[in-house]
Amino acid sequence: MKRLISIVLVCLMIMALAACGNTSDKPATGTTPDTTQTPTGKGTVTDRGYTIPDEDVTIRFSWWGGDERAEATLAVIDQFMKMYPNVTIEGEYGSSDGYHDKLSTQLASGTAADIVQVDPETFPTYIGGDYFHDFKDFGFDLSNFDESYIGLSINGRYDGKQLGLPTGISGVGLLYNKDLAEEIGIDFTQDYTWEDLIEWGRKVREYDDSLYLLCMNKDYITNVVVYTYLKQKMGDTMFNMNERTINLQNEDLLEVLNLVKALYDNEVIPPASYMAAYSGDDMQSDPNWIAGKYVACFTYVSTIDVMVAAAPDQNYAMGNLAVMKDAKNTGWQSNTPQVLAITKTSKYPEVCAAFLDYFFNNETAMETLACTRSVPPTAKAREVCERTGTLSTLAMDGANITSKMAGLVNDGISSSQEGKAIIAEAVEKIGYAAGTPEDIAASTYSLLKGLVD
Amino acid sequence: MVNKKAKIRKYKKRDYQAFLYLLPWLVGFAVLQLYPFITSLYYSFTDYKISVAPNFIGLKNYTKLFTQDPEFWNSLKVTLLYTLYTVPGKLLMALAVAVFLNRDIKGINLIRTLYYIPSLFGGSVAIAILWKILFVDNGVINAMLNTVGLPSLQWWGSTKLALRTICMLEIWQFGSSMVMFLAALKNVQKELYEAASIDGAGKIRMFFKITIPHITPIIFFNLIMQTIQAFQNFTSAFVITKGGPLKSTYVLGMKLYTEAFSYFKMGYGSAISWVIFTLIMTVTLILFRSSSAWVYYEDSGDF
Repeated sequence: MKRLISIVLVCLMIMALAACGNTSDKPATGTTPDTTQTPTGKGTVTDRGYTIPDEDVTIRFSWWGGDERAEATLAVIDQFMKMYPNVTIEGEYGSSDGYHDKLSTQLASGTAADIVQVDPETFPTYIGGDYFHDFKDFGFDLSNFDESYIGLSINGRYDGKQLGLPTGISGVGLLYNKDLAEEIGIDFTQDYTWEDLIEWGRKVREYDDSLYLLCMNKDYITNVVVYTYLKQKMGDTMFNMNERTINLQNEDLLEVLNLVKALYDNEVIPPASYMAAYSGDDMQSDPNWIAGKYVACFTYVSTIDVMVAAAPDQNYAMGNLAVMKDAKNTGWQSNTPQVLAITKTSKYPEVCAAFLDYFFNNETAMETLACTRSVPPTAKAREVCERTGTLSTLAMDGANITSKMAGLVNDGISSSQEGKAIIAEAVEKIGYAAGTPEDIAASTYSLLKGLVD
Repeated sequence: MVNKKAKIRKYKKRDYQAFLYLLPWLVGFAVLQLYPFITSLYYSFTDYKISVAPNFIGLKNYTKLFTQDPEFWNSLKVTLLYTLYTVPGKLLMALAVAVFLNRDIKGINLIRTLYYIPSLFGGSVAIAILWKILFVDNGVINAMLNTVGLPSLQWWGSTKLALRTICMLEIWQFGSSMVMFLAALKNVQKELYEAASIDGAGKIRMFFKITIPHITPIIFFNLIMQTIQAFQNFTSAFVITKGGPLKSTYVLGMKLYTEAFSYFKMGYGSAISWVIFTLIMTVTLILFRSSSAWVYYEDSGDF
């Protein structure tokens, strides 16, 4: 008996321990060699100038997103594969949960898909690894894109190289329940400040204390309130990306944390402990949102439909975005929700480019893809979508407002996962009143400073 | 046991064929377990980030972890608390249910199966999500509390309750320990109980004087297994609370994941994994040491 147990124990322990040590993925060579291999043999030159080899070609395309996006993307893949029967494109798709954790390890180990969808704020993290092809190397037709839009680094251009292509126009939008707002006497179509939000929040609670003005969790407070307010106040980003120095001052941070405290104290937003169960992009599961207990919420143009679908009975409209008095910058971030890139480990980068050319520049593809990756990035695609009626009015209005209000884009340091986590923790502490704003600002400031020291 | 050396010499060349048959396992072990195990030790002494080649930095990761990282001690505390709640909780629950099921009544097999079901779901994400929905502020559990006149609780929102709610999820999955306890209970000789009852011992006395001593090997086994598992907990904290609120459920496993896979600090993550490893090793060894004092083996075999 005892011997048997000891054998079982030893085996299990070894397994358990090895599982514990299994944290670092496959070994990785930091950089991957430039493998722009020309495909063997001759190929067919397409009417768009790309060479498709005659042999059987398989490329992989990975993205995250819902069913609608998957269906449309697969349909476009099918269209392309019908044109070039020797080309097979395999879609690898799923939820955004853990997508970048997986992508990071795949890029490092050289096993990433040929075409990858990347979050623009995470993209800078990968630049050092030299993982992606410059679209200009393929003579990619960028004429449908607005140069001022595609030229932004957040939309894929780094050091003059077009390493990614933006899939759409997104940004924060204010989605509000028009009837309820009118009933209470709140006008989101006018220009307003953060203080107005607090005033309106009180008004809503006086009107009916089961209602709140804004549905908002700590992650949205971080992304929407803190970053935007700081850019409006400072007229600059929190960090200087090139010199790797901090622009933010302790007083600025304290000021915005006091604003967050005021949002909680005046019950403009629900208590932090209530929203704890609906963190991240999970606000649409809040039963109070579903029951129509909020007047409005800040959301992204690309997720308006998700929020609306969770509580479809209200009469919604898109409102203006808050700007502080004497703002040095409008501060609202307007950028693509994702970029597409071709990895250098791809065996057939030119086929990938040919496919993406079809994806972005072909009218049939535009019609099929419609708004499944937010409002389309090219004017031509927007025209196509409007004509076919696939562009929702809310999304179009949201895109117009957010591009009108577009200000500074966040720097890569403060918007890195770690930077966001530090700020979100400060917001959470304010929400739980775990310390005075002064103490929280001071400790948060030193953590943020630690990112560049 | 007398002539150990002579025994070893008995192996013939042919006997080494065994390694051929063992090869699939050996290769799997070497590539999937041993190699990552050793490289993670190496990485823990480097500043390895995913996109940059590793540089050797000595003990810096460890000194940073122990002296500068404000999260580490909190995570360690949370992990220890989690272990202290779940391990005894799960063992007591499993033993109680096993005792309850160790009887001959009609339909006992069905009841046993039903009780085992929660464990079949294992540490799955779906169950964690279901658990989350059950315990949200306007969820089923609070509705049930309200109908019996009790106030609602913020199971996930309160920094005091969130960890315990997660522990309940773990304790609820007591099935595998329960099955082992049940087997052990069946193994206790009936004669002992008969003799004791003739001597006038009551049920409770019999339980503590006969049952418990006889099932100590299984208690020991379950204790070790559950402790190792508890120290490595990750799923429930990651899926349900994301470590919050206010890092009150930020177990070491989650910190490891966040540092390594969200912040890409592989070197630092590896260092954390080695700290967890050492912790598990130490606790396991202590438990093994203590076993001679309280674990009773009928065959009195020695290790």
